[in-house]
Amino acid sequence: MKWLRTNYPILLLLALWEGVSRFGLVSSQHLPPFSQCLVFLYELTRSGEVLIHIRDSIIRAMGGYFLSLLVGIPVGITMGLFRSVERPLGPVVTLFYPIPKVTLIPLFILWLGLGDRTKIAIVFLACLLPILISSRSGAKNVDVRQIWSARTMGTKDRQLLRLVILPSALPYIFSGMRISLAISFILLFSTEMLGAQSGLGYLIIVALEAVRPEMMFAGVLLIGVVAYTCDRILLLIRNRMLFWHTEQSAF
Amino acid sequence: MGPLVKIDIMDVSHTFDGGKRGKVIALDRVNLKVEDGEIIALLGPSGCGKSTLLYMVAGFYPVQSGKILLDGRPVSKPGPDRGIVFQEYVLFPWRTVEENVVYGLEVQGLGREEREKIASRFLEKVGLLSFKKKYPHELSGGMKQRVALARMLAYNPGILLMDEPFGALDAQTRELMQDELLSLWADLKKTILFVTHDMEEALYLSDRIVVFTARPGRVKEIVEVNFPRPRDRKTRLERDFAIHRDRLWSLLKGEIVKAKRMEDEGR
Repeated sequence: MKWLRTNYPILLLLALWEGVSRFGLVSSQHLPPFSQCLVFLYELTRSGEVLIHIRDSIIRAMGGYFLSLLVGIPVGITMGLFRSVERPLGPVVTLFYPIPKVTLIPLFILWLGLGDRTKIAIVFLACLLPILISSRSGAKNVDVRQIWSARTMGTKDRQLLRLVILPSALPYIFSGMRISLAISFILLFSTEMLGAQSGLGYLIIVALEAVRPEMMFAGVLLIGVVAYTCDRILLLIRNRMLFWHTEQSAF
Repeated sequence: MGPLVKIDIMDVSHTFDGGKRGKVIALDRVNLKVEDGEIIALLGPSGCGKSTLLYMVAGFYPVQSGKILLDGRPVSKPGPDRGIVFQEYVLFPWRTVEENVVYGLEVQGLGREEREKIASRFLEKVGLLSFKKKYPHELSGGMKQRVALARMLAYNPGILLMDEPFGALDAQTRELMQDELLSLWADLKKTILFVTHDMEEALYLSDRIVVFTARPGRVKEIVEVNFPRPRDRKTRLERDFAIHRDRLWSLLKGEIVKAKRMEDEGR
C-alpha cells in the first residue's frame, strides 16, 4: 500500500501509455500498448534467449566498470594525497574529462575489433575519470584535524591511509562509483548498438531492423531493470558501509 | 631547583602568508613557561594567534623562530606525549564510541583486551560507558566532547592541549563539562594548555591566564589565578572572581576593539 501511495504516478503513466495506444490515439506501429510489450518480454524470457543478452551485457559493463574502480580509486587517492603525482597527471585528467567517450567507439573498433575487448575498454575509459576524480576529492577533503588527531595519538604514516584517509574518503568514493555505474550502462549500450552479436543494445538494433517496436520497448525495459537493479545493489552496499555518514547525499 | 617546566616557549614568533595581505605576523616573541600539572588558559581576541601557538606546541605547525621545549626536548612533530581536543570534537565518525577511545592504544600496538579495559575505565569516568557501542552521530555535542576527552586521556599523554574545547556547547553543558574537566584533572594531574575566549571559563579552570594582544599576538599580561581548589559553583560567586573578571576585561577590551576594527577593514 505504501509503495502504491508513493509510486502511483508511474502506474498512471503506464495506464496512459496503454490507453493512447489501445484507443488508437497514437498508431500502435509507433507505440505498441504496454501490455503487448510485456507479453513480448515474457516470451523472450521464457525462451531463455534474453538471458544470454542480459548476461553478455552485464559481463561487459561490469568488466569495464570494475577495471575502472581498480585503477581509478588508487590513482585518484594517490593524486589527492601527493602533489608529485597530481602535478603530472592533473592536466591530463582535465583534458580528457570533457571528451565524450562515445566518440572514441569507432577508433576502438579500429584498434581492437568488434569483440568484447572494445566494449570493455570503452566502458572502462568512460567510468575511469568520474571515479578517479571523486576519489581524488575524497583524499583531498580529509579534515586536516582528523589527520592531526590521528598523528597525535601515535598513528604511523603507513597506518594513516587505512585508518583515517580511506574511511574518510569513502562517501566521495561511493558517489563516484554511482556516477560511473550509470555511465557504464550508457556506454555499453552505445557500443552494443555499433556492432555486436549479443547484448541488450544489440537486441534493440535488431528490433529496429525488423521494425518491431514492441521488441524495442522490451529491450528498453530490460535495460532499465538491469541498470536499476545494479544501482539498488550499490546503494545497499553504500548504506551498509556508510551508516555513520550523517550527511544526506544525493542517493 | 624550581618546579619542573613541562612546556617551555621561548621567543616564539610565527608569520603566515596572508595572500593579498602579504606576510602576516600571527605571533610576536611569545614567552611562557608552563609547570608540570598546571592549567594554563590562552585568552585573547580572535585572530590573535592563540590557537596557532597551541598548534605549534602540538607539532601541527612548524616552529619558525624561537624554541618550544617539551620536557626539555624541542617539539618536532605530533606525538602521544600530548593529547588534543578541538572545539568541533573531530571524532572518527566511522568508529563506535569505544573504538574511538581505544584508537591511540590500538595504533600503539596494545592488545585488544587491555585496551578495552582502559577504554571502559575512561568511558566510566566521563559517564558514557553505556554508550560505548554507539556512533558519534547518535550523540549530543556534550557527549561527543566527553568521548573526545576520554579518547585523549586513554593513552595517557602528559600534556593536554585543548582548542576552545567547550566553545560549541550550550551554556549549561559547558559548565558541566568544565566541572568534569576539573575533576578529571584532580584525578590525573595532567598539564593543561587550553585556548578560550571565555573569561569566566579561563578564571574558573586555570592557574594562570595568558592574555594576548590583538594581532600580532603578544603576551600582554599573565594573570595569576589563586582561587583555592577544588573549585565549584561557589567559586564563581566570590568577590575575588568578580574582581579578576573585571581586571581581565580591562586588559582585553581594547584588544578586542582593535581586532574587530582589523576584521572590519579586512586586514
